[in-house]
Amino acid sequence: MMKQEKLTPQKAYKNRPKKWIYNLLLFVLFVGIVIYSIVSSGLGASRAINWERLQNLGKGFINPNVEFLLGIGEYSGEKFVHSVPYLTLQTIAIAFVGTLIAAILAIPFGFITARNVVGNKVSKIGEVLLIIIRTFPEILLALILIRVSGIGALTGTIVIGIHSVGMIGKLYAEAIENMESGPLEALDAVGANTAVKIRHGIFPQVMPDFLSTVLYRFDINVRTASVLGIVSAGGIGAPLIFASTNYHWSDLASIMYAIIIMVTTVDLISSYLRKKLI
Amino acid sequence: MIKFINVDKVYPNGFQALKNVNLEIYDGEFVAIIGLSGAGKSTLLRTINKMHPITRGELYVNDVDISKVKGKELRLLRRNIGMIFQSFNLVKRSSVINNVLAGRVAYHSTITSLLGTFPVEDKMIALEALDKVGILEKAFVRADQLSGGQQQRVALARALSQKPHIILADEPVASLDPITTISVMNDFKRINKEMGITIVANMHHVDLALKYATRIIGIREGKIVFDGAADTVTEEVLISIYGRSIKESEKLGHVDFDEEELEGKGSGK
Amino acid sequence: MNATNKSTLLDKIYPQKIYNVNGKIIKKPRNKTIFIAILVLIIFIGLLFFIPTRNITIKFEQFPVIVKKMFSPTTGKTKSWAGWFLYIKETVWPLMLETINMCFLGTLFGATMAIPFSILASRNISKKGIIYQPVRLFMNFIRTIPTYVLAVIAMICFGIGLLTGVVAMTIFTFGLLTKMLYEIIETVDMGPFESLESAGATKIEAFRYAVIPQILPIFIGYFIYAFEINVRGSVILGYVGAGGIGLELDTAISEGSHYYDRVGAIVVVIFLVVLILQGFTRYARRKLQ
Repeated sequence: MMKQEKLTPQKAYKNRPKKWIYNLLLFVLFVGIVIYSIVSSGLGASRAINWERLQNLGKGFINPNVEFLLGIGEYSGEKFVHSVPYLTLQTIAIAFVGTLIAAILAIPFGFITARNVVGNKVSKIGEVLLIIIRTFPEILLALILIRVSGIGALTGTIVIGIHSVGMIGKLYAEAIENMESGPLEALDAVGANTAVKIRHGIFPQVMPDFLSTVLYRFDINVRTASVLGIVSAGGIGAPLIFASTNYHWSDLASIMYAIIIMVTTVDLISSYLRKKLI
Repeated sequence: MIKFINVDKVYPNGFQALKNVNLEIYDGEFVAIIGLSGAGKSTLLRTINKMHPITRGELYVNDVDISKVKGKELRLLRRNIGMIFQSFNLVKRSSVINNVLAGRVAYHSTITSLLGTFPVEDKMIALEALDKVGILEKAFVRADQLSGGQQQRVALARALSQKPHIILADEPVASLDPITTISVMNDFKRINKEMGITIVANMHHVDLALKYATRIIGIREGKIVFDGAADTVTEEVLISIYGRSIKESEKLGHVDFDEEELEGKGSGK
Repeated sequence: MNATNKSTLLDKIYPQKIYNVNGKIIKKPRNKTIFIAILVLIIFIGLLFFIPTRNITIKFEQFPVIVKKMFSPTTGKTKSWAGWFLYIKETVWPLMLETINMCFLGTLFGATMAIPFSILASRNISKKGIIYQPVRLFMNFIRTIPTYVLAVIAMICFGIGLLTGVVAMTIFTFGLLTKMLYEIIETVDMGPFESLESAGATKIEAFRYAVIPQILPIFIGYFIYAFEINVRGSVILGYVGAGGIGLELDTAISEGSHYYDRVGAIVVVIFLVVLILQGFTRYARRKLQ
């Protein structure tokens, strides 16, 4: 007969799992990493803020280059293609066209990645493909493609088109996996063949999600498109860098105004439309 | 007419859902199938339109052995058989009329269905079907904006738009509240009487089955243990089907409803 | 029946279809999708004009040439595979670590700053509108400025170097996380918070014991998410002047095709790092659920 010790509250407290040691170690480790990063990055030896330049920038904001900003005067006629309105619209164009192309190309990718369409094994292939496309940084793609299709907006569009397929394809696949199979069963019972089942069963269910994805992606791609300009793939990124490296404060301010307006507007439109889709 | 001859259904995992079923269902009957869950009700129903193929025997639907039919011929047969599901199986984000029009796809070429260019006659058929179940005014509303009872009516309209000889219903009212249940069952009754469509329905609620159907089929463990008129069903019969007496959850019970609404108007609730 | 028959212009161009079913009239709503599709098409064609294609010849052949050059060190600057790997080990990898470092610090500082602001911005903690509304406005404003613009401004202040990158990422992360955080805080179950307050704890104590445990895993998840975004964006920040691997990439590319093998090395390293980071992020976020 074993003598069993009674489990008292005191005993339970004594034997409680010593989680705090684990947490403390984690915390110390974390602090260690932080200290190491700060030290090794050489941030300690940082310079003071260059106030003079900042002030000049501020002056530029108060006094932007209006001709540049509105595409008039010196910037009308031949030079219009270098003016802010043209470049802003070009940025939007790159994003729009690129996203649209990707939206269509991604459809087959979405279907071969959806587990309820092709089964678990085949969908893995699709997943891997999409991951590779998605993870390859757009900048690198742009830099490489510039050698192929030249500098300018066309390259930017192609880059966005390719890169977005990865992002959009993944979201398409998720939308397809969230689909209900009930309506498809009903279509079977009605006597529909496979094509009709897709058109009347799958299509109406996933369309709103597809559109929402494309709108969301367009929003992000507008920002990306402007970034691509920095590496000369068209859009407003190029004059941005040019103005900043040459300290053209008024120009720089004009560009920043335009960028902020553009991004905000696209944001608002995109969210508004997406809300209406649900 | 539906005729089962020595029908067996064995699933790939070895489970035998139907054992030696012999059955004849005549045109215009209102048949209710009752039994425990898993007894084979769903399987029996789905063999009729070959959603589940049988593994032995012959199954004649309007003089064609449906177990031997495939492809286009099968689809043509299916378009004559409407099916109603417990979970409605509507495309939630589509409009009501688009859901109903889906019932017409087997009457047209694939191209027409793909483009969605249904002729005006079809749209009228769909609208009349909606009127028949009393929800015409909802025709262009999104399906998920409707209540459960209304959605089932849309499903019913979809089946009606097929101009079917037979309607199969798999626990059609199990998801509905008691008052809506009565309305929808009244619709079924009306369709059966006025249009002469054969109705074969799985019913979860025994009292409902007894009240609406003319003929009761009891299934137990894949075998038909009762087949007769509704008014010949006694407590002993029920025990032989269920292996026990009926639980409260298997009865709809008393419902306070307006007698007038019952008079076959299909209230569109 | 009370039908005021105002025949509008729209009715004349696009009349609504009317169906008569057994004596009942039902009108079919106008098909908006067609309008939208046409609109999109018009916008599309209009925007196409902004993408010049006239003087551009697509040199498809260049593509394999470039890829080959990127991966044949013998013809490039590094002169051999050994040299290639050496380049990676001595130049690329340390820069990559520096870049990751920069991203980590940027995310860290941004996240730290985001905490107090997001608390202030959440309706259930700071109950007075006069507190949370201006905070939200401020945050929204910060969020509209894209990262690279922030980087440009930072570069003007601080010159080229890692500090610029850290500052830019800090501000960006701040904007990103405050919104995500206050949305989470607002969905938190306030029951424990209120019961602690009524038991006598101060707002801060109640917050720490009632709210933080609910939020912590999610917060860590967001931190990792922001970190990942920052690493992806760090390449371009390097281009703008924030240093790190982006700068090296810029240098290598502008030197010309002779340096493509270096470019190849950088591309490989960046891609692998991003890939591994992606995998790590997914793993970590799954464990946090």
